[in-house]
Amino acid sequence: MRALLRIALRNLLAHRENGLLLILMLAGASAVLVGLRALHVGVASSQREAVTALLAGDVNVGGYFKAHPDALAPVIGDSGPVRAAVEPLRPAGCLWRERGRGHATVGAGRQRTRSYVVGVDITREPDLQSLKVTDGALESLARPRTVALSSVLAERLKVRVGDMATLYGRLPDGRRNALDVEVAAITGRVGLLGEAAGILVSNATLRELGGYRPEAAGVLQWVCDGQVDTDEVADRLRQALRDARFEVLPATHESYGDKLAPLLREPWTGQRLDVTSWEDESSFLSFVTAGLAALTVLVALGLMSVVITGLFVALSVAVRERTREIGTLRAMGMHRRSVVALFVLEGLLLGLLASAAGAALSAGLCALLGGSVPLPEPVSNLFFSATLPLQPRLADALLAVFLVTTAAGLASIVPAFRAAALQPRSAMESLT
Amino acid sequence: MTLGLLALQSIRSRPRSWIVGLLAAGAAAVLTVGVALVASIHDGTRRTLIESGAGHLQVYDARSPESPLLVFGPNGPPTLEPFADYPAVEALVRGVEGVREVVPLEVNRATVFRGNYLDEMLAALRAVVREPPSPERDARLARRAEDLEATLRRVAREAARHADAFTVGAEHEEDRRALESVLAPGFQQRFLAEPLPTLELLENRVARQLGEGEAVELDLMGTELPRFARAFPRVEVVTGQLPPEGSRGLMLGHGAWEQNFKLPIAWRLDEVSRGLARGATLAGDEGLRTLVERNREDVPELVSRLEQEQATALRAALERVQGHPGALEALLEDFLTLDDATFAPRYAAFYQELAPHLPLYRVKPGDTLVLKGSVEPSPGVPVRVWGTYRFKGLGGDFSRVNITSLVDLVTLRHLTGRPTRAEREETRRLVASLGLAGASVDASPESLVLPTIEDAPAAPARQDTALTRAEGPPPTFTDEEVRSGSILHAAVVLAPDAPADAVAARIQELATAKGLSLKTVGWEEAGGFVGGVVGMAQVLLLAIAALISFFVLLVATGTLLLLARERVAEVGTLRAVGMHRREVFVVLLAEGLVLGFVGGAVGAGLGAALILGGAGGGIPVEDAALQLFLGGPVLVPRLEWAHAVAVVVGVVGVVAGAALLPAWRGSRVAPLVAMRQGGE
Repeated sequence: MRALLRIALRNLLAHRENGLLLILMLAGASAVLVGLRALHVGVASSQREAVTALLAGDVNVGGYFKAHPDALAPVIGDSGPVRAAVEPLRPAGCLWRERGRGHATVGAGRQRTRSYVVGVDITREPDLQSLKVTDGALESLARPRTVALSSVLAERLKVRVGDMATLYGRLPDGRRNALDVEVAAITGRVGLLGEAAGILVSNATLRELGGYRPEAAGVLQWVCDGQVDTDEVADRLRQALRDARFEVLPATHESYGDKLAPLLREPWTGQRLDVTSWEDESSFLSFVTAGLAALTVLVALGLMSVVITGLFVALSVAVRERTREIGTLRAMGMHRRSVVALFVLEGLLLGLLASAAGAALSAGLCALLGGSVPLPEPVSNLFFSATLPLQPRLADALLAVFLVTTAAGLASIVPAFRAAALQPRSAMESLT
Repeated sequence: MTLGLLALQSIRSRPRSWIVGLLAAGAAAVLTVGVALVASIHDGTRRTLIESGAGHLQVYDARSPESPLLVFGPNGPPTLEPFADYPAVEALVRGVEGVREVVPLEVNRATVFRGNYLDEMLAALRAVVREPPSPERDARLARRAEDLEATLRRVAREAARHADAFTVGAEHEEDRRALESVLAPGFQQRFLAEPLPTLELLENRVARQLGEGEAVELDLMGTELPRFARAFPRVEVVTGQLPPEGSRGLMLGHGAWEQNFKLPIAWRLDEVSRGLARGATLAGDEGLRTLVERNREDVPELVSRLEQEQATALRAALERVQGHPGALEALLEDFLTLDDATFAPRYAAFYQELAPHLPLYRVKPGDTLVLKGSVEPSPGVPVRVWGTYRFKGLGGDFSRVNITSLVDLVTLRHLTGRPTRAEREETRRLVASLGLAGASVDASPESLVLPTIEDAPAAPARQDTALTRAEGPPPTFTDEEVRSGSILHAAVVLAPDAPADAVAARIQELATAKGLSLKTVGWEEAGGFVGGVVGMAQVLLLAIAALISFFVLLVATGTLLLLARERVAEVGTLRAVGMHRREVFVVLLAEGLVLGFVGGAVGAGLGAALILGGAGGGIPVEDAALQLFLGGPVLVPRLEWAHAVAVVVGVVGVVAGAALLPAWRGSRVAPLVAMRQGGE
């Protein structure tokens, strides 16, 4: 075996020029795969970061309250018992936080615009610090009647930190409610979410705006540091809440905003709870990562077919060129099986070395470029990041190496058998 | 010529070189299909946007901080500055060659309140009370009093629940006590003895507890409706009619009508029917089962809203369908208990037998709706619903374009509180007459009338119910009123062959000459997110093409290099018989070109066959969002000759590039070396 390996290695080195092209091709294939995966992982993680910072916890227990069938408030009227019921199920490593939900009009001077409101408890939420703040400080939200606006809204309203703005909400009986608030901070762009959470206020301010009682909470969220199977946890929570005699909505893969209109059409009144995972809450964004995943698979398939074709051709020619060498080896007593092994080994070795080099190069490049290439706005909206989000991972690099090496091995099987089929005599004949 | 023949011969004699052709064919096939797909997405989106209101171009005032956007997000439409002089703008644009129509536009979102269930009931009761006295009237009033008491008890139950989530103020407590006192024993006798005072008390103190009823959000496109319908021939009136020239009015998008104003039970049955058509089953889909379950829960609500005559007719119909007598609620609940086997016949029976006796839509052509701007505070503007429409062939009823409703500009302008020029003049006169001239140049009715801060004033009586009492502008308007008012942007529809870029440049040129501050954007930008997706698809296609080219280049170079080495002897012979190095190079390069061309052409042909054969009749697309991008419910990948030729040329270029190095290397061989090697 060691001898075979040595011969294979020497062969690779002997045909430098062709070897170089093949190496370039195989390395390129694995580099593209690693790069695409890094992009996919990078986008998924920046998306998740943006979603869990603004939109949802990893697991969420939200509520919808209908005083009468025609009015829906996204709130848990009495959050105490709900919290007590779910608390025993909280996985280790998960912290809970309370968020408020709603939408409101915000006005300043003669400008008015509307957006989703997110209520936060800034003292409990170190996570929010990852949110880019272009002006002011989010900590100021701890003061009553303050607001943080997205830069899009702030531009539209022509307000700066320290200015006053007015929030308009609707009370359940249809009357308007207005609050004067001070602009405490202006938040930077967060991709497509900028419009889904344009207004940040404290939970207390949101309660005041919506006329909710002090025990009310919009949604209880668990934020987990490790890997948690959110769907499984959500299922358990749903069951536990049903056992505790709460009315819980059936699981649907939809975000809170998408549920409002259908729920409003439903005839029930009273309190319903809704358990969701962060994937549910960001279902309207999943097209981005799903698209990237599909693209990766498509490109991987294309690359594999190119790799296999290219290598097959190169090795087939090599077999013809090396008829003499094979004849000699066979004449010296090498078995057919060993000839097959020799050629397959050569393919595998080539695949392994080239793809490893390509993967390493690509991973290094990704690590270098990740976070430092600025993106044009439409792309940065889709990717949830102002710079190219690239996150190379060892597992992806190994997968690329494995795929390319396997493809190389597969491509060398037929030429290898063809080489082994050569009669020692006919092979030797070409020597004369 | 000889060189070409030589190249052909050597290709024929070396099947291995065909691999390069094969690669070229594969790449060409993939790219042809890709280009055709992206082109059809581009065409589809272009068609959807241009033919649903965006036009080929949008003109707007250059002073605007943002540009027109027909598809906008949750933050609402962009901020635009109205044209200073719209008639001049229109005249200018119309004068440009290639412009067929100019349609003033404005997009926004409005909320419609349906009115709560008590409002409807009280209105019906008032009507009965006002009828001339007769035994029938008394009987009807007595029946309705019974219904009213049941409804009021429900209101009381709901009012008690209010405190479960909301803070309860003194006022709310007072209202609740008022309701309790109304509901003291003997309600029906008291009501029948003195109906009007009771009704007044209910309107003022009780109905307001229920709010304004369900809020429905509508995406609105304000325009001159008759002109819009002329400029965009895909507009198809489904029910009712277009408002006549000079009449305020709303044409609901057919999808929006179905989605928001259809009887919930009927809507859910439609949803289930659509789900089953997609291949889901009630047994396997929890979402569909939930819809069926909700329909059963909804029965008491529906029955409580029916008038006696309707209820009687419905019961008779149900008895006929179900084949046995019974109480209405039980029969209906039974009817709506569905599984996969019973759904289809019941669904058909619902529309044939039951629907005629049901209030299938809460708003019908001829009704008046009160629109409120989604940005508060906004005055309510009542507007007549003239009918529903859809854009023929642009996606299903629930695609984005078909849930947009059309409204006249005067109504929309009132909704946003933007004053017309006449109103601004009047304000200025008023300000001047008060001796305040110069105090506020920017004074407008809006800044004078609308309060900026309002802490939910405790209204002594209910000021308006959403459906009827809001005051609005008169139901008709003059052409002058529309055109002299503030207009935000306008769609420019071009003649079929007019180049949009040239027209835009010409408009710009004329505007500069005449001192009008104008700007234009194309459909792609006006389409916002939708337009962006198309650009993204094109970039993606380019990236994939580059990737494919790179790998084809590598593999082809490798293969040709190997082949060049194999034929050192042959080249040596050719050189020995007097062929020049340059000629050898040309032969070898020509081989690459021929391989690339034949492969590319075969591949493009294969791609074309795939498109025409596999998808010649089009691929039906179910998803409404996708239909929007494809410009209709069928994806027909369109192959244009220019695209196919471009693909072949590109592939030939890549293969020729790949042949350069091998050809050069092959032609470098010294005849002596080659001959020696060949002789060995």
